[in-house]
Amino acid sequence: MNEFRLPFIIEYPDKDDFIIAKCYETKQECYKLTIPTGKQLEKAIHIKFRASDTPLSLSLGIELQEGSSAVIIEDWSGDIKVPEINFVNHITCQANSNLTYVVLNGNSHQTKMTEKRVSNIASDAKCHIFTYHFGNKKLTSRLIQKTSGKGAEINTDIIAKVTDDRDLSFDCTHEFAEKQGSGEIVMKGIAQGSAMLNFDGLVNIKKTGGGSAGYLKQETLNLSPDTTVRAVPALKIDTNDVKAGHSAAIRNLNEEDLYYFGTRGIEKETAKKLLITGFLEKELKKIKKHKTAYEEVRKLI
Amino acid sequence: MSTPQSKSKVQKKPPTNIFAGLNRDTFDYFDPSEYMKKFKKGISSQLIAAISKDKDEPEWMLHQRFKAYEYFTRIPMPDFGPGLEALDFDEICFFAKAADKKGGYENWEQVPAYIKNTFDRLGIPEAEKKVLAGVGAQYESEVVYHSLEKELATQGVLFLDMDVAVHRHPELVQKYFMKCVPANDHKFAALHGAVWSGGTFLYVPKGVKIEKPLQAYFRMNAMNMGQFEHTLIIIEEGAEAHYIEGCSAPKYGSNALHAGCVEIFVGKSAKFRYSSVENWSKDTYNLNTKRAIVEESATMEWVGGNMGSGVTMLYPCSILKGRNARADHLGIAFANSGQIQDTGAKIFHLGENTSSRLTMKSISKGGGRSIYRGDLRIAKSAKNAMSQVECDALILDPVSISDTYPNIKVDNNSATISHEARVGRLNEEDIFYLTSRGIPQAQAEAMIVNGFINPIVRELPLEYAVEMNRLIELEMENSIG
Repeated sequence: MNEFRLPFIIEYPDKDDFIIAKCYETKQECYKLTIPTGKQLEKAIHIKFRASDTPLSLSLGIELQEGSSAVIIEDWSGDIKVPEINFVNHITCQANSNLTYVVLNGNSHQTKMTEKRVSNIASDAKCHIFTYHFGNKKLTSRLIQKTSGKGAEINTDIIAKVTDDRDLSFDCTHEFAEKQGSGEIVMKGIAQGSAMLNFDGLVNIKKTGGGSAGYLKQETLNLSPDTTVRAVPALKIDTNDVKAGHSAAIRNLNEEDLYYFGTRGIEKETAKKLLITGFLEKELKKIKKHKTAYEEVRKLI
Repeated sequence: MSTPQSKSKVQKKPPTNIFAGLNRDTFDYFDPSEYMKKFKKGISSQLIAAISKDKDEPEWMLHQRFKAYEYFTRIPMPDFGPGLEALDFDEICFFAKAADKKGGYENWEQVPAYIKNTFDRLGIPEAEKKVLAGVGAQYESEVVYHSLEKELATQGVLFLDMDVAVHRHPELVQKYFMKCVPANDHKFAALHGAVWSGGTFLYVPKGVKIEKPLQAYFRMNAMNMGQFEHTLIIIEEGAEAHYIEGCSAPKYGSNALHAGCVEIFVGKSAKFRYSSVENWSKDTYNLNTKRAIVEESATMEWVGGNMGSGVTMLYPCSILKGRNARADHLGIAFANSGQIQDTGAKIFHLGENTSSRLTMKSISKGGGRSIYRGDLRIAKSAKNAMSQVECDALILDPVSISDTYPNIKVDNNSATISHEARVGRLNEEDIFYLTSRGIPQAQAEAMIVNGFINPIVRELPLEYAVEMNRLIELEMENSIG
């Protein structure tokens, strides 16, 4: 194993618990990480990307074989300076597997990044993708999670903070093609400066996806008069035995809340920070049990 | 819901419920259309010149028609929504007259019997007597009847056939006509600008408050007909009015086209409500454009029910231009077998402290597809704007479809926007509750659907709420063709 130089470092105590292989079927530099059948990993696999002076074009496949479980952290934070990144991420969760996948994007504010993430989740398997975006000059992110077996559960949390004149654009789809799927998309953003933040979300329940329940939530805090914020929370429902819904909210910090803090001697800037942390707290709590990921996210915030 | 109970319920309704007895025959009945032999299908510059000549229009209107036709030939079909490939412009008759009375008759007794009978069946003369302040009735391309209460006329209210308004009030018409919806807005606005005919002109002077609603009813009778009525409404400062539009057409199994245009100017502190019950036949492409410009402290309210048409693309639009302007959009769409109801709303907040509220309910049944398409924009200038959007969709069977595509764009940080949507089927516990009390399942389902749409229907005057409920009942029975 590892007869090739990886463009990332993998931190994990026992590297026999998984298989990392180079793939040659695509033009793009490509690696695949496989968690073998029945393997239940207790600690998180931490994949840390290296800095590069040249543009990076990379594909990373993740496969959880039947009955396995893992927490994987894809870490672009730290001193990552890459001028341009084109990243593709394919996730396959076989039956009864359980994946928690955390993306920490804190790379340079000069980096332009395009990412495409696609997951296929089989019967009774679970996949929860958390993506935290605090980096990039410009980001175009496309994420599609699909249920490909009965009772699959797919969840996606996208958290983004965009400042200055940066431009982050997210397009996330949950596609329920098999019966009794479930899951939620949460897209939360904070926009400042003259930044642009786009949230496109879609819950698509196919004719074959009867008994599925899908929800989409978008919330944005718009903190500056020069930002542009766009939200498209879409639903495409092709059958009636479903529970589906969405909500979207765009607002500034509540003046009454700021006043409340002020009357208790807390300065406005501190109060703002507290309110922003509160805005993200519910989503942060979801990964609290995954200590490494939680601590990394707190550092980014 | 074709149960004896429901029929007896309808029969027992008091006579004031003018529209309670509507049935399939009311809409599907068609009169002989011998007059159609005089009119050709298809669109050309010759046709446009002929329409303008027939109406003896001023030069500026003819020029505007030709400009619009030029746009129509250049602008592509919409790149979103339902496919319009089957709509063949060469098979549509763009202009036809069933009677030749400029501005329409002033007395129903003068209206040719076969036309009057149609409006009698639809309950329009009776509604005029009981609940309306004025009525316009259009049959094919031209208005056949128009009336307004004398008291309102003496207060300076103008309620006219649009063709007549072009002659009698040219300055007013020229100032406002297609200024809210320019002809180059999209393909069907351009088509409308080229071949428009008939429609309503309503002018309510400063401070005049009209208590009873005014109504216009648009009826297509002949096969392959196109109707392009223009509705221009000017509500001056502090004035108030409510206008209702209804429409229907018989089913022939061959395409018809409705591409009307509604332009509304709501002046400072004025209040205007536009209600519509659209029930075109399922042969009809309903590609209508409705838009209002709302000035300072004014209120615009849209209440709409889309029950008919094979394909509907309709998104009433409010441009909240002045400070404190407000818009309320309430809508129902029912997509039954073979129907695509692509409806929604556009709201543009430009002024400070502007606010909007949108409530949309849709029902899909028998393979029908209902689509909510929204466009909500908050401009940089719209400080402290607020908007609340709620969409609920019911899907009544496994073969029907519901899509929701809201687009929200915010360019300042003082806006507060909320949007919520829910999609689901009828609650089985509710059905069980009703059926366990002896109500047949179909009737129970219809009752729940009526309850679902009630928040919108209750905003209509009683008689029109009855009509809307009756139309929903007919859809639940599959009785509208």
